[in-house]
Amino acid sequence: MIVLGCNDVRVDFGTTVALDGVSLSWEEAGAIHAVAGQNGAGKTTLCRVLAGLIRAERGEVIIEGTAYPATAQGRRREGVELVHQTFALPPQFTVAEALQLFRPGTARGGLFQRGRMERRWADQLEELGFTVSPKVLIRDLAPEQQQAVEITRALSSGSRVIVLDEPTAVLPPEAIAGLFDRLRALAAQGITFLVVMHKLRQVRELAGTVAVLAGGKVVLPPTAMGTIDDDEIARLIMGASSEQVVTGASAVAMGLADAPEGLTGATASGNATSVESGGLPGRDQRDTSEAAVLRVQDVSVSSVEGRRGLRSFSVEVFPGEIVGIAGVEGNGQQALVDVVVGLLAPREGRVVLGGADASGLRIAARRRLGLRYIPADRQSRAVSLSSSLWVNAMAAPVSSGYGVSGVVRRGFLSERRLRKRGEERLQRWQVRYAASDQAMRELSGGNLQRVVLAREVDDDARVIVAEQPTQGLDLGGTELVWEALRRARRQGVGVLLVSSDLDELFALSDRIVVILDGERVEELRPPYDRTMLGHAMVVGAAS
Amino acid sequence: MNEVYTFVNSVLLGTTPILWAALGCLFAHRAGIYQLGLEGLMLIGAFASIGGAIALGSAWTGILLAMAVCVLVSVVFWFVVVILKANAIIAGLGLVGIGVGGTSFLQGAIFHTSGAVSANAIIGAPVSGTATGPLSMLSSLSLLVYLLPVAAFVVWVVARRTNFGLRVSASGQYPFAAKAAGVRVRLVQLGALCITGAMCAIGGSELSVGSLHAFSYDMTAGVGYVAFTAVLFGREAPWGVVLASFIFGIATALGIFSQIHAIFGLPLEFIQMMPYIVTVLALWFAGWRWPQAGSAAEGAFAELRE
Repeated sequence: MIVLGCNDVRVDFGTTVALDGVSLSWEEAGAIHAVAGQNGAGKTTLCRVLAGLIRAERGEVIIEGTAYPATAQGRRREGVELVHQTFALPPQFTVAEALQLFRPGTARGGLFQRGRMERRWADQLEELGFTVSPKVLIRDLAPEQQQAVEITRALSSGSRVIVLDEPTAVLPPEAIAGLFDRLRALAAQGITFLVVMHKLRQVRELAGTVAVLAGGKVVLPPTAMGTIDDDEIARLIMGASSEQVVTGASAVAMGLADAPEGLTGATASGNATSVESGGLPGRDQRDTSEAAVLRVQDVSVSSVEGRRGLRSFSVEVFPGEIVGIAGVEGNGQQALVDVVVGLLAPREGRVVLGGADASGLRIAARRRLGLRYIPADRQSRAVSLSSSLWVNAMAAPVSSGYGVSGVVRRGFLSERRLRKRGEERLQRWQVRYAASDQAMRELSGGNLQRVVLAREVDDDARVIVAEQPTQGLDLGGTELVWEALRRARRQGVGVLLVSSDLDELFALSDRIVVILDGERVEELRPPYDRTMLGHAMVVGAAS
Repeated sequence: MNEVYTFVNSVLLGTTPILWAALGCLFAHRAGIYQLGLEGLMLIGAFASIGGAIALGSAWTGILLAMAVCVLVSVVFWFVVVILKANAIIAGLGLVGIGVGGTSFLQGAIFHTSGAVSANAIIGAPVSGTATGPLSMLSSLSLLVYLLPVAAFVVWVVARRTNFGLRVSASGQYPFAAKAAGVRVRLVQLGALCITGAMCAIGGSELSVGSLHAFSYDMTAGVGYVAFTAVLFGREAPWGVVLASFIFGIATALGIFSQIHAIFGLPLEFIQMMPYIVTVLALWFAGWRWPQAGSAAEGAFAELRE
């Protein structure tokens, strides 16, 4: 009998296809099954379809042998309960109230008595071995306690099948073992678990079978863990994107005159610095006592829906160095960038810019210290599409207060001078435009990125945070960005390069720091090894 | 001593319409909808109850009519705000405009007067006027004042001790949780808005058939806004709202009282500013102490929204 499964499920969100003809089935009851995949592979959507929380375009869901249409309008189905990644518990409710919300049937006539309600849920929690007081507010609970409430909630329905969406993502490391023990004990009582996880080591530790999703499709049907090795699973998880990367690499190899430094493989030089022209100090001889231009120290950020946090993350960038950040998308890169540029205040830890603690500084103050940012989201973060080119080139320098000299006349900003300054910047970066007051939206992607470079890669820059700087650019645009970053390095700027294009990381980085689940798991130096990096990105440290 | 009794009397008189409306509005707020149109609803209620009292010959049927009309208006408000997703503040202000203009128009169209419309059928007052001694505190207060403790208790039970109350709060605080719990958020919001409408109707009726026995143009004179503030100030909690409404009622009574008796030699104008000063202070305090919770969940799980 199929305990849990789905048949030809398709889910669209607007124009994107979240799940594309997904058919999966798990037959062993009282076991723990895993689903793995990159961010955006469709794992969370699958969970929600199975739990009947969202409507599919087509297909059916199978629960304990019975098939249900998956197209029913957002109707919750009996038999399967979902423990959400971000918990579905109202923060200002007490534990008892939250559980009551999900199990209204326990109140006679819709009316309940607080004391009796609290006792009943206290018993339930205790029965499952959780030590959580039903009187405490949800928002005052530690993540593992909230998860305990969620699991209690899920089991109190009498469901025998529980889906957990990334249950370890929100837990501190020391709580993970406890969760695993609890799940194993419950599985022994006949409860079937489907667990979404993206740390392979945890999958191996906990699950009996693993299935892999990529790009909304099943690339590995449920397979017993004993019959498949980590590298194979990692290859399937990385599948689609590494192929993309390979084509990108060959294109780059054809299009670029000088071989990108640090590129590995049989042909690439082992010594990154020897390829670099110009008289910069070799990074092997770099004086490590020299002050880092950027120091991220033990930064922790809480995870929220759609953005993973950081756990005691540290990274240093020295002058004249490009440090690559590699990781499967959605492992904390966004939080790291936001913390460095000042869009997000970390819960713990600090950010030091050129020796000065910048943790409490506003964005403008950080820019005055030489911090520059090339955002991944060009259209909404990097530029104002409705403003003119020269405004886009000059607004940040002027409003941050480092680009004002020479543009002030009689105490006021002179538009004429500002515009002239802006045009100078644009011309230095060979932005192709008709008039500098034309709107930004009229520029093509590569040209638009030039405007961003014109603003961010200037003489005052000390640290550049480059986030997916060549995403969506053609060869010429890619070349320009890479050259810009290399030139900045030659001039002693430190670059933090966050990219999901492995070849870009190999081509530019003096070191690559691997981020997984918000933690720094590995640091690699040239010559880089693609397999080793892929392994670190999915599984963690090699050792 | 008589001054004290008179003062208490006017506190009760001033608090009652605020409290009825605020207790109702509590549900709208808890369901996550700012019902800024209380003023309009109260005016409509005040007018409908007078009209009903005149046409049907009984103040109580007048109040029932007023409640029906206000529930209907609330359904329309729900449709505009929840279904058509109009901005609730703008829609609320529009509702106030409809309340002021609509009642004034109907007053002219039906009763052919722009002055006061009075009714003979009124809500009884258990203690009649001109009594002296402690009982004079209750002098001429309508039965709607006496019903308040019952109403407050019922509101507390419904909000804090029923599944419906939990669903209302969950819908407002964290719609995703509500949805995950199988709650039909929009229907719960409809219910909450209808309760608000019905209780605003009673609050408005207290002004017309309850105490003044007449309807006149824009007779609520800001009571609805004060009630709205009382809900914020009272942290959307039943007893907090009761307390907040009394504070506003006292401020209002001080204004009236000071017209007759000098208070500590303070200028009359200053005392009359009290309700507004208290309102501003209350809003500042409410905003400072209790920031909007649940906004972190805003935007999350967008695809799960109904």
